[in-house]
Amino acid sequence: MLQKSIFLFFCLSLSLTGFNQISKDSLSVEDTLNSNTPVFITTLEDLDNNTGGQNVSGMLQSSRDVFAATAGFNFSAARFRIRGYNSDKTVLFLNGIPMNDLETGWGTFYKWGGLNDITRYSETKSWLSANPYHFGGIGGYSNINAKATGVRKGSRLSYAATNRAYSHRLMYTYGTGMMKNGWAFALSLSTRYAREGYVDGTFYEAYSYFLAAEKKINKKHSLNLTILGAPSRRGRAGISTQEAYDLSGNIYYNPNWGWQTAADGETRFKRNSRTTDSHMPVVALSHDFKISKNTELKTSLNTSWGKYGRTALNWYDAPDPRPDYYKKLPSYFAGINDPVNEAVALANWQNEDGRQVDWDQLYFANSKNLYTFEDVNGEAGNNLEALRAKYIVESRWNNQVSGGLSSVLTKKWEKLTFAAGVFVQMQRNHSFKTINDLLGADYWLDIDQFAEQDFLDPNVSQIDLNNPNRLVETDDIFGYNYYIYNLRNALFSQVEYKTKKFDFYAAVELSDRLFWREGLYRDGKFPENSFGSSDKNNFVNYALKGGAVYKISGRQFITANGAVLTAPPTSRSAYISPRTRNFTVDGLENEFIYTGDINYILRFPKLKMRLTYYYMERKNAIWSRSFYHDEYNSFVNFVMKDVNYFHQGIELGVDAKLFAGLSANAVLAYGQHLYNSRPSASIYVDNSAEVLAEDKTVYLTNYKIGGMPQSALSAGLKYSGKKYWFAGVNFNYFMDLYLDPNPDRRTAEAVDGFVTTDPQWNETLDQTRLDNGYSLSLFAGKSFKINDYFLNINVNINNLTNNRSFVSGGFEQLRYDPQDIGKFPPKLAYMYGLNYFVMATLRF
Amino acid sequence: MRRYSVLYIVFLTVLGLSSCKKELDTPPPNVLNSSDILTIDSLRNWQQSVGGAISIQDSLSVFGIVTMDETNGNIYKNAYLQDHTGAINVRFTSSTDLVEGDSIRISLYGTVLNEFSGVIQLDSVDEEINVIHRSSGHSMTPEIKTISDITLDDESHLIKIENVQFLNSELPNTWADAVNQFAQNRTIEDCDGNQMYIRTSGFADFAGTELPEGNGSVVCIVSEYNGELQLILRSVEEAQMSGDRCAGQILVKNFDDDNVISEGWTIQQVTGTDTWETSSAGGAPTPYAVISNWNGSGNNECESWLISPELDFSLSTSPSMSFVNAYNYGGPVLEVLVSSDYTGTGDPNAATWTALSPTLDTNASTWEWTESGSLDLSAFAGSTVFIAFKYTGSSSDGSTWEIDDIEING
Repeated sequence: MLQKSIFLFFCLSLSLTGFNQISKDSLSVEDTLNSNTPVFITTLEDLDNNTGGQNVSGMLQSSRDVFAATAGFNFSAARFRIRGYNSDKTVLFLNGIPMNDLETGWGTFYKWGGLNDITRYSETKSWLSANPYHFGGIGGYSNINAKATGVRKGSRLSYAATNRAYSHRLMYTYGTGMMKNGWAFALSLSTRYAREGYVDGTFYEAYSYFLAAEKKINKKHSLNLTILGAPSRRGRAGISTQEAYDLSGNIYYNPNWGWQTAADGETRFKRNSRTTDSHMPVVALSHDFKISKNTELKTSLNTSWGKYGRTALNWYDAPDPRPDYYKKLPSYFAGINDPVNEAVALANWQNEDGRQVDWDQLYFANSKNLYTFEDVNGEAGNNLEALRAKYIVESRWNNQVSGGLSSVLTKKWEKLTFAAGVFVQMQRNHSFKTINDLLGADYWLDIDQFAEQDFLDPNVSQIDLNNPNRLVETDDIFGYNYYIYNLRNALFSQVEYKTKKFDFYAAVELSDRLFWREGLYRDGKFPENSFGSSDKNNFVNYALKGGAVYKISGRQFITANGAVLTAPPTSRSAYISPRTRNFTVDGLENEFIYTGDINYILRFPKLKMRLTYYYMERKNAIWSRSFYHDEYNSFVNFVMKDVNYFHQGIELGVDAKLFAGLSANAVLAYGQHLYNSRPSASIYVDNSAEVLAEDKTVYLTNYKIGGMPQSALSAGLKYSGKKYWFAGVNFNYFMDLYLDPNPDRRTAEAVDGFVTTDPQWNETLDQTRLDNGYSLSLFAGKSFKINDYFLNINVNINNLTNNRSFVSGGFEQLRYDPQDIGKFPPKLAYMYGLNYFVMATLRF
Repeated sequence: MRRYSVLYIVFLTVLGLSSCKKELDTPPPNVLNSSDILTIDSLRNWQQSVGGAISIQDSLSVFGIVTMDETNGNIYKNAYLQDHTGAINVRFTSSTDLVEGDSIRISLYGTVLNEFSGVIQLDSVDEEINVIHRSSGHSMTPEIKTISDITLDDESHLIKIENVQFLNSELPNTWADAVNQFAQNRTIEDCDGNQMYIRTSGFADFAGTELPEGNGSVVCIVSEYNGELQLILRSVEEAQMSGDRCAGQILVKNFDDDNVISEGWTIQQVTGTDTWETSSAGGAPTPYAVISNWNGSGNNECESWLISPELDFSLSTSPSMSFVNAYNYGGPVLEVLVSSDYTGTGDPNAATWTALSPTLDTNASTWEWTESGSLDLSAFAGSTVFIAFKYTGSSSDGSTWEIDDIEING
């Protein structure tokens, strides 16, 4: 009977379109949970080089909630995401200033990567709650205290050795604390380096700096200035298909790199074709004004600017240089009954030179391509005979200038706390390409390759009609060039009310979003719709949340939270092909989100537990992806609108002290993360006005959101010895992993011509489920006091059993052949084998 | 106790969540009704009942296994499909990726059912649109047939013939003319001398490969050209002909080269000058051999032997012989003789000859050919022999004898 009613409750709740009641989670509840959880900071960047894939896990590791800390640390290797949310559902703050990228909504972790001494003490919530700074996100918030007084007085020097993304990390942090003269200063510097990281061909050179000065002017006023930045360069790892892994005998095969012969003609060095180069300093000025004993006004001004570039190979009138391009794999030739070339491809893949980028061949091809080009730069008779590049390395930049103003007033009474704030955020993203390396050639001709083939009118192939037939050289801008502007204004208010039995909070936010594109090139295919400013897209949004805590006793609580809000589409997803034109998705509209959770919390001295049921629906979202399609010789942009997402699940975290120094913890995340609508999809090509498909229905309801375990569990033991040491072990199990569905395959068009009994029907429509996986992790630490010096040694070993069979993620290629789904197999990512992080810290 | 109740709640919650598992969305299903599925046999019958081309405009489907693909170039834009009811030739609008053993469904909408040179074909099939590849590796077991079993009903079927070999006369040849890319017919025979030819395209990748010399099995598709049976080889590996040859056809003498003594035949003129000659008189399409002792006004005395080359019956178990004959005018009958001690030259009367009993023409009023019937030479199995046609005429009388199509089989 009970089972039945619970079943009924859940099934009912799936169809609820209304919204769950408001509630709250008191700040103190989580703070007391599991304060013994060891803190190891490894940013997710270690494991996932894609900024889009970065999430908040790194911040969560410092959480004292056993669930959040475990999810952030032990589950991150499998790309677990709390409640299935992306990083855009968590708002990141630096000194109370919202820092999420306005163009994408994502967290901007790369801006402070490596400053772990600063970020490790962030205040993090992984779910809905009251938030003293801002409305926050439905996935919680994380506030980095980057003020000078946020850094502990004294010096801290640490060295870490690891075999993950980087090999060595050296960090020094110094804080003066608040000095008698009212000043506080802090400094943190770090460097991370790997000649080659865990994956072949990945190098890592990163630095970071942090400077803060705080002045307590008087009892009422204090000012803080923080400057931080993290210049970094690194070689990226790419994932590939199982065939490539089998052929190379390496599940961490990286198609991005290859050997290049140096100028001396003999020495060979590894070169990565896909590197990242970023540096976006942040400057933040804060003013804290204690108006009265109970009233505070915190105001901040911040700005950030800099570069974020990623390199890639580009080519003109030449074979695809990527070694794992599908037409270079034996399976391609097997599929066309060509055993001769299949054997050639197999032999090619069996040696390292054959399966990696052949840099020498790219140079060779460029060196033979002497070409006379007429009417250079559009000037008649201006002819040039020189080496025209067939292959280049290009840099794709997304540089940014942003600024913001935040001001939050807080007033406290005995039982009531009131906060109100105003926020202004501006951001300009500059997207363009430059030539990174001509690979021995003299120039690259900046015209549109695809349009050149297809149209007789020479203007159509022009990238920029204002500067036709441009020859470009190293560091010149080419290809595309545009700005995206974003402006966000928000008003926020929150009240919290506490009684003996109940606590309540409620908050509201009203915001306004404006974004537009400004093209700097007049594209030959869209002469009227590419140059200059586009129409401005304006969205007005509201957000409401609230929550309550019912205190059964001082150690037992029931809490509930709920939120309903609208959110604007991001400018990143709104433009269908921003590289070439001003067009947005038709009928842009706000997303509508509602969510709620209910929690049962225990806080006994020897038993701490949180059990949560959560529910979230997100409606009318836009989903967009671009991928390179060799038949079109161009990027294809796939856009879905009216995408609904559905998330529900339970979270359980238990931490129990057994006896003496031994404690045990268990974490379970049981989730259901689904697509929940039939979106309509349109497909556009960068280099053509042609629309490949318009508003086709995608039958996506109930497909699982892939690329992460829907569920996971962890169980661990920890022993804390009397002489300042601890050691522990965790077993982690990951369940219900799916490949994220390629929407184009879930359409009537994809199975047109097939009947339900044809194998293609199910092969095309079914969703691939990956095998469950596990990992075992070990951690230990000891502290020593030597005179006035404190030495901490921490060791952390992930995947102790070196389990190399767990596919922790992957995606279906957007390209597919319905007759033969196996022709474009999914790209898969394996969890790293045994990896370690050993750190020694000296405090003085 | 409280702890257990919490666990119980967790358990029930997980149960609750997992029990509302949701079915994946799908596009509107395209269902294939059993009434929309045709067998290959019914397709063939349909074509034959209509006679001409049928352009199929209904949503019908046929299922089958590909028994021959175009991988090695022996056929082009073409495949053979077989199910449990029959087989059919499928012709595509372009070259395909199909592989032998593929299980496919052909959506018949837009295809054309037709007949070409006697072969029933499913034509105008677009692989991209009409063919649904279901699975691979279902190689069909060929039906075992003898040459004499094969009929036009087997057209497009996959068959295997055992204990066959190429004719001796084919042996220096390649499967086809790879140089000029011309198709060629190459004849196989069984040990009883039954024959059929294998037709190979000059574009086949084995066209330039020499024919196998031995005896063994061959897997083929049966085809026809306007009622004449022919075989198509799928791959050169399936001509497993490396065993010891059997006798097969030992000799054919049809005088088509207008030469009596070609290919080792000899004439031994014992008496007179009238001798064996070739002729096409009487409107014969090809020449035959003839002898007569009539000199225009009377008869000449004559004894003339037409003797075969040495025949090797060492591999033979039951050699036999046949020919056709015709006669007019009275005189001694033609003798058909066998010797195992004749030396091949000199007076045949010095050797020992055994007479055979062919059916000879007895109607002196026409030149109709008479079949000799199969003459049993089993008594000579294991030996080497000569066969002779002995013509005798006197000065007072003598017949005119015509013979043709001499065939000696192992």
